[in-house]
Amino acid sequence: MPDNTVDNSGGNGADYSGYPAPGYPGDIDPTQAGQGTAASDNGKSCGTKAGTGKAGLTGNPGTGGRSGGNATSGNIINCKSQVMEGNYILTSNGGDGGGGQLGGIGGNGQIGGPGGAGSKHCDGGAQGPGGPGGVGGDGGIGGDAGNGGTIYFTYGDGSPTFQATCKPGKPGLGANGGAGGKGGQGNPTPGISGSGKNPGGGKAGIAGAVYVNGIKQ
Amino acid sequence: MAIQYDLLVKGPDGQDAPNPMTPGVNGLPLGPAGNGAPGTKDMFGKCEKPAGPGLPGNKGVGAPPAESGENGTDAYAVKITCGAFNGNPVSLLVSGGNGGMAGSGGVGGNGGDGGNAGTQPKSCTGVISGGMGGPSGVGGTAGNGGDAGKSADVSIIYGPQITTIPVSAKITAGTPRNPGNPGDPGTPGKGGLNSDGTHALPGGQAGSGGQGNGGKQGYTGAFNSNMDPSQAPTYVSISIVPPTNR
Repeated sequence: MPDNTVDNSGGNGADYSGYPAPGYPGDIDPTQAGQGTAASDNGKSCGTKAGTGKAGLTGNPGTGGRSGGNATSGNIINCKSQVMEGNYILTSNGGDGGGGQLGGIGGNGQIGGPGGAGSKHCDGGAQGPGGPGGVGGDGGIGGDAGNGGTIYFTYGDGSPTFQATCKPGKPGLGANGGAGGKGGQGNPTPGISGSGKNPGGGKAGIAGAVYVNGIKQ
Repeated sequence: MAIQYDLLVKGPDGQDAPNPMTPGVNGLPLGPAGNGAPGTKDMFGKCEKPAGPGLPGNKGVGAPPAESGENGTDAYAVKITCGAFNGNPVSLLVSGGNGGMAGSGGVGGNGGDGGNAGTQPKSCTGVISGGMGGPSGVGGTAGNGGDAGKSADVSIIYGPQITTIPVSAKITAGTPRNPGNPGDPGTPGKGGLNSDGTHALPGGQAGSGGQGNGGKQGYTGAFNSNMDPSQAPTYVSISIVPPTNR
């Protein structure tokens, strides 16, 4: 460590930008909707037609991505002396916000129920419509950046030199939402559902300030 | 290369969670009792009783949740006083402990296979269903990563004959840990055989385990140095004060 160095910068927030998206949220249980009502004959002709299978339920929504962690801020550095000499490197930067995690894929829609059983004189019922897929999970929001700290350097006599840094960190980026789930097989089979949203990045940090003998630099 | 410090004040690291990744329990096999009863025909070969359907497979049991890492401990209080200091500035690290590593979830149990439909006599009409496969068990929830331990405030007071700050300091929180991995779901059971030789639907696919949370970042301490003319000419004191309610 170089002489006369002070570093109390903030830490970075947890970063999930490189993480895989959350896993599949699971099928609807049971995977197929209920069967339609059975047909019945009326003597030598069809009496009551078989019912259409029940409509499938909407798939489970995708799991939301984790939000990036908030960074911490740099803290105060306050150096005060009547006589000051030497070279000082003073650092109080804010940490970087963590990136959000991708949203998870939506679940598949439930399969449409089987048509009701036919009879001797009635046809079997049609399969029910498949359930729509679940919407994709939203991506995780980015973490907030940390603020730079404030540095005070106050002296009477002497000729010290110093480099002072108190920058804010970078905010974390929001992640994209997951893809929508597939529609359940049925009559008809719905298409792919909507994707999740990207909720955006974290808040920007604020720069710190450096004061030498009370004067802002 | 790691930096060597003259003084190191660091809270202990949090303990890592045990990581057995315990799996869920598979659905019990149905065995022959899961198959439907065979159909029967009378002495003239006419259908008397259609075959029975197969039973649905048993569900797989979800894996238990994983444990979380312990939080890092905050940097502790220290006061060092030196009546006559001479030499280069002392290098000082004040750090919170690192969070403990989280455990990962185990794999969910597999679903059991569905039973087969009973044997259907040719004279009996209609397709008898095999049992649907058992749904798989959900994966284990991931453990949380341990929080970083907080750093502490550093205060230096020195005598009037010292003209350079007698301490160089790195003040930092510990490292927060990432969460464990969620467990994968088990494998769904296969559908039993329908009476026409096709398979019934397999069981539903369970979801992955729940996600854990990452550890939180900790407080970074302040640094204050102040020459005090009332002290002895080369006096130095270093006070490390842990944060309260931060």
